[in-house]
Amino acid sequence: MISSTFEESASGLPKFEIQSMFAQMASAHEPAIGLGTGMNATMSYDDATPV
Amino acid sequence: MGINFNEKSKDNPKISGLEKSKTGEDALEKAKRTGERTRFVHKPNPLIERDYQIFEYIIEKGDYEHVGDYVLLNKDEPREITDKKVMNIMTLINGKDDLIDLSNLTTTRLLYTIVPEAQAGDQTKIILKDYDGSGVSKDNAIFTIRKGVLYDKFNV
Repeated sequence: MISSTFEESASGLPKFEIQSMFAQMASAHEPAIGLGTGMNATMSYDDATPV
Repeated sequence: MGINFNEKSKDNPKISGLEKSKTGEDALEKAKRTGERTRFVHKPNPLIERDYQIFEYIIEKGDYEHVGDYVLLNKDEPREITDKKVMNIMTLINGKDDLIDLSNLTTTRLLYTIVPEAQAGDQTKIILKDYDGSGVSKDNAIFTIRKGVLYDKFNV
């Protein structure tokens, strides 16, 4: 299946939108066991500040 | 410009005879041997355990060129998960979305951050993170690829 998350660059080759690409990655990686109140996998920005 | 990267080379029919005799080769070796024109392929970094190099087929050169890396930071991650994550990235940047489902293999959620362009140089750099449901996420891997393959819809 061909992804719909790319557009053609100036060189004629497709380039891919990071957010859509990694939303798909996160979706495929979402653990079967729930993690409780965590971030939504489709909104995968991690704004947590390391401590 | 219409290019079928998956079309087998018609100008090198001799190499097809080797297909059944070789096993255990990486994606780059296979692509070169079979003449398949998959745009992006990957292979384990020969110098760094559990790191991967990403190559892109450059039409003008007629050969693959190193354009990115996947550097695993969490060396405790099971090899199977790492391998499948890299394969999923390769699937996506090759324009497909038939990803491998990792939901039964992992207990962490995948998050990511995009390293600002000013810090990433001439590459797009993304840090993958693991989030186990508590506290803060932990760095898992760094994925870099030449600028122009990916774009950030919030930073165009």
